Amino acid sequence: METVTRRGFIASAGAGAAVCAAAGAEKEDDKLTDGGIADVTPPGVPERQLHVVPPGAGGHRNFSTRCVGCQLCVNACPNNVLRPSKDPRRVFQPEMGFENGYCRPECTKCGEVCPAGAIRRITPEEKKTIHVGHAVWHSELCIAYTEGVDCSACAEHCPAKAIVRVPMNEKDKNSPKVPVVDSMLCIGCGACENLCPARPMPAMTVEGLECHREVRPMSGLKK
Amino acid sequence: MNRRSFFAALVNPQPAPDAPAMTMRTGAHGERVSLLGYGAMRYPTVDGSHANNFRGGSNAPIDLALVQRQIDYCIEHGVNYFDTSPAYCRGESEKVLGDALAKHPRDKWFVATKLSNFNPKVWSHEASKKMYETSLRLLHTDHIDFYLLHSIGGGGKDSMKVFNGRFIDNGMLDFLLKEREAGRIRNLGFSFHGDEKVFRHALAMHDKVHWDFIQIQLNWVDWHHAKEVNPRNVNAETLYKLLDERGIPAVIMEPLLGGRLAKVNERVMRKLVPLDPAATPAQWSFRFAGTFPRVLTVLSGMTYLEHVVDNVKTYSPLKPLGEREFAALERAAAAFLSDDSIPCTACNYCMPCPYGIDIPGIFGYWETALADDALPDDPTDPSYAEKRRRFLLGYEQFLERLRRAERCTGCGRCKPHCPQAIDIPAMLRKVDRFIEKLRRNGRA
Repeated sequence: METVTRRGFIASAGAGAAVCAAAGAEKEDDKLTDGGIADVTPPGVPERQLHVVPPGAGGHRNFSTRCVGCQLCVNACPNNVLRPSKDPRRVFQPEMGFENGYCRPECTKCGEVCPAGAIRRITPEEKKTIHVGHAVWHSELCIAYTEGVDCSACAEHCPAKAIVRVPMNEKDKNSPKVPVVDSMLCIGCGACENLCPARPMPAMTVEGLECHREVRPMSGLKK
Repeated sequence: MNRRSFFAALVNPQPAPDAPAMTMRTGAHGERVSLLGYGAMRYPTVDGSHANNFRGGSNAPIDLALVQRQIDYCIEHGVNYFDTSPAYCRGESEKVLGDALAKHPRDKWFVATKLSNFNPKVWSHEASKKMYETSLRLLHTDHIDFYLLHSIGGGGKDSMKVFNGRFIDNGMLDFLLKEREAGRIRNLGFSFHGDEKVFRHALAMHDKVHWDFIQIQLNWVDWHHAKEVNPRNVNAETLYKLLDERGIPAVIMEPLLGGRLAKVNERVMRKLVPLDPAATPAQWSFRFAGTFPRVLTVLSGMTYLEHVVDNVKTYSPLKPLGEREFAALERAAAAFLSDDSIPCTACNYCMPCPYGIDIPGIFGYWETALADDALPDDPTDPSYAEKRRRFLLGYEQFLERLRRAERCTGCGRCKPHCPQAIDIPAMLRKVDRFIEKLRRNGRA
């Protein structure tokens, strides 16, 4: 007999919720009356292979050796991105999560308050060139891919202009477009993950980088 | 006065016997209709949210007690035209209106409702007929005083096809004409938004159909500047003159452009205050719409009792505008129009957005800022920093995080529903980009 693992159970529950969300979107065809407002589900928190630490940290090694877990940056973060880790190995050390907001390009607050040198002070200009992670696309969740919705949420809001929308049918310019991430440009700010309408999990999630690095100068930020 | 009437008067003040009466107009069959009509599209909800309070959509139940008070006040003060539709307020408008009117004698009120068969799924004769019969049932009546083909002229390029599909090919117009003959419909007409071609086509049917009334959008901005507000709209003057030539009574909708003309706009008021310093913008707008003699009634979606009280006063009796005032409003209209304007009237036809975006709320916030000259669009303005702070703060305070413009996926399902033909996703993006730019300029 096939046993249901915890992982399998949660995954199938998630798939069910996705179907419900899709049904909500489909309901439009039955629209007979006006007004009202649809329920909104907050985005889920994805499991990351590698957690993300803020720009200015340099990378995981610098960050984890210097951070004293004082929570000053967590308090200072105006976008609610930084929060203490739940991982016992990094207890109290902050990490980034994007369900409440994303690491906005004009903000350098965490570096300004860090007393331990775990997050270096950087300028907003510098920040735009630091890779802290890269976005990964999950086709099975993306509404552009699964439902053919003309969704441009991630590409529209990417501060690094790292997401290109490409038609799935080479011969038809108007066929549904799916997002393609240019990892040379993606800095890992989490805008796409934060604004992705897919539920229960965003179809774009950020994976952290072990060592932060700089965007190549010639890639030139267009925005 | 007995004890009963004393307490009744205390709770619900009746108009003084010598209070000036509401101006009345005469319909196609001699009906005496009040110049102010009650629009049942913007009912108050129990959470206090409504279309002009930044937050647009709401799922909260309608505040029945407030509605009842408004209807009672209307009838006591001579308002006798009540306009609803099966589509309004998530489909609850007719029932709420029918229940509220039921306590008043049938000869005290006229009710107007519509064939709102927008979705092709209900274009069939049976489904459309069922919609009409449901209206009769929900309104607790055996006849509808004013019945409209709801919002003809929509459908973009296919507007003629949509018109024929909704009313002609399914035999609904013929059916409604028979109902009129049988006396179950007393007046038959249509409401119009959008494609002028369809308006003229329907008007050309007048010799055969004899429209008893036609409902159009008219206000002092749309009079001459409808095309500037929106290229697809038709100047109200053109529409009104076409009706006037044929002697068809005009019912007016959007006299305040969804409340946008009730807002004090300094650029506008500069033109109006010298003529009448005490008049409110809403009074100007209602006097404008009421001045035209062929106008039967001016509909107003009055959310709260104070709106009803104020509008009743404006029309009891109507003080028509003169030449000088028309000229001032014409100048005001030019000042009202701004390139940045989003012509949303908060009708909620686009709602609910499948992704939960509060479309009318976002556009309402934008328009209010524009009217207040509070849009931080010029960094060289000495008050830019203050305007920026307020604008961002207000946006975050009044619109829930998951319902803001940035959450628009651009799927476009809202677009065909907008009677003002606004490119909603493009406008949401415009607002979003403006806000994004503001946020980034924080350290400038």
